[in-house]
Amino acid sequence: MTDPNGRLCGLFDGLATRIRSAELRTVGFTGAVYGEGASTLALGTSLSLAAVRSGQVLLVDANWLRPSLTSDAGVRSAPGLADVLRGDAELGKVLVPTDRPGLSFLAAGGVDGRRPPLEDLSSFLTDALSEFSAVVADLPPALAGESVVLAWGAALEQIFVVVRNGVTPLALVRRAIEEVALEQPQIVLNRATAATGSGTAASRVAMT
Amino acid sequence: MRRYLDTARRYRWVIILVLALTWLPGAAMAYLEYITSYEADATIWTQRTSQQFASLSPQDPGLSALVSPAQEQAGILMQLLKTRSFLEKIVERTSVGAPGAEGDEQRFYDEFSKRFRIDILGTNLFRLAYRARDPHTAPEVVLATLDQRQKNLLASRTAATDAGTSFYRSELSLAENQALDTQHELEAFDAAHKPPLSASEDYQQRQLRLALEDARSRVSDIKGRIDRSGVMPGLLEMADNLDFQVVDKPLDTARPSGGTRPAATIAGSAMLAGIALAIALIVGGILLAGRVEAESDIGRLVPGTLVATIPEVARGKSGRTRELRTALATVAFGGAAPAQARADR
Repeated sequence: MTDPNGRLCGLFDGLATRIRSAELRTVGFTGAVYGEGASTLALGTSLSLAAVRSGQVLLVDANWLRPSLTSDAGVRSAPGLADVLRGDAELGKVLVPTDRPGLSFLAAGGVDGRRPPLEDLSSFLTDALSEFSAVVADLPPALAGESVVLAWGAALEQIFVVVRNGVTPLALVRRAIEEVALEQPQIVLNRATAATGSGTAASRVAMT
Repeated sequence: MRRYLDTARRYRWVIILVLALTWLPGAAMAYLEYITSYEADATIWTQRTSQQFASLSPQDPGLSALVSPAQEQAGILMQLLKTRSFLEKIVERTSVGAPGAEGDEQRFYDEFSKRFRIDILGTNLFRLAYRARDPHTAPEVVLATLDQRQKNLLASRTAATDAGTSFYRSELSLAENQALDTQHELEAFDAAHKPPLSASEDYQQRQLRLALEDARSRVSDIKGRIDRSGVMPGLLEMADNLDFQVVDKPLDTARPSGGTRPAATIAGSAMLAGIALAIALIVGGILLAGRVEAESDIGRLVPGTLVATIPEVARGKSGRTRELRTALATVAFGGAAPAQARADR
């Protein structure tokens, strides 16, 4: 990666490579509770994917409970995913361009206290995959937005559970995995220190 | 169990430090207490012919049990040693310095009272002991306590006798007045009636003489009672000396003694405190271990597969943690990001 922050974005290259080599096109990131770093991982991984993939990557803020990526992009009031799922807007018209070539962003959209319909998530993803080579979704925490994560879990090819090193209680992680009924939970250990066992400052990826 | 042992091994130096910080001062205090304790005791023989029931609880007088003479006397002495006036009298009679400041008095007498120990050795035998900081004070205090008890007993009996004597004196005064009045009446009758007396007059004269005799015998009886009440305290004191005999008087002791129990209490408390702190440390360590601390924890503790590890980003030169999220948002969204970026979700 050639950007000034390439070293930081490079932290996610391993995970992006794993996604690409496993030929996963739709992935999501969630945590047990807030503060795990799921949004950061979704953002970092989509940046890396955009760098390593030949096609376009779509980053989706599906965390309607706390749409932090939408806030980061400065488009809180703009239409987004919720509007597309309700059929009030077309995907192509609500995409937010980013500074990173090959990466597009779909904001959370207007929720107005109503949960957007999640029945059409599969068709939404199908539409998205017709234009993008990969879709990365930032999901709400599993214990806070269980129904949303369950719906996305059924539609996405893979959900990664982010666990913050030394902070997240194991009991909560277990409960989150049980509640979202993940059969083969894929866990990403975030903010690992050298003593954790990673051994190097760079990200370590287990190719399973 | 293995978790506890592992945690104890992990925190062994902290545990050793905690144990050292509690056990060493505790052992030092216990040793100091032992070498500065000098106990003296007196063994007392008590006797009582009649059996006595005593209340087991002050709150429930109906609940009583048969008590031995030693239990009774020891109980009385123990109650006296809980009163401040009694303790003050003992302090006055000994070389134990009275407390200087007024605020310290209560604490001084509480501490003074705690240093007494009463052990019942048998049905008629008990032991009174006092633990002092020097070898001479302890026997002095024990003797002063026994003397003060005797003095208190004598004072209460003298007070009771004085009350009885004053009652008899007022009775005597009345009886004497009555006898005098009867005497005057008889004399007046004799002056007014010269022999030979008629049967009626003779009967009246006999009645007056009988009343005078009765008044005189009453005066005599009361005088006897007053005399007896005067010697009663002496008799009671003699009886008390027989019922409460100091068999073994306290002796001066040159070697520390009597400090084993308080020293053991201090050492035991310190040991228990150290163990409790160590246990708390291990339990706390286990609670902390309820979080993922190593890659190996994933899979062993959580039902999942670890696919990636994102390392902690090092701190910047400014000393502040550079938020990875802010940097990434800047890369992705450019100028809009820094203002809106939040801390990691």
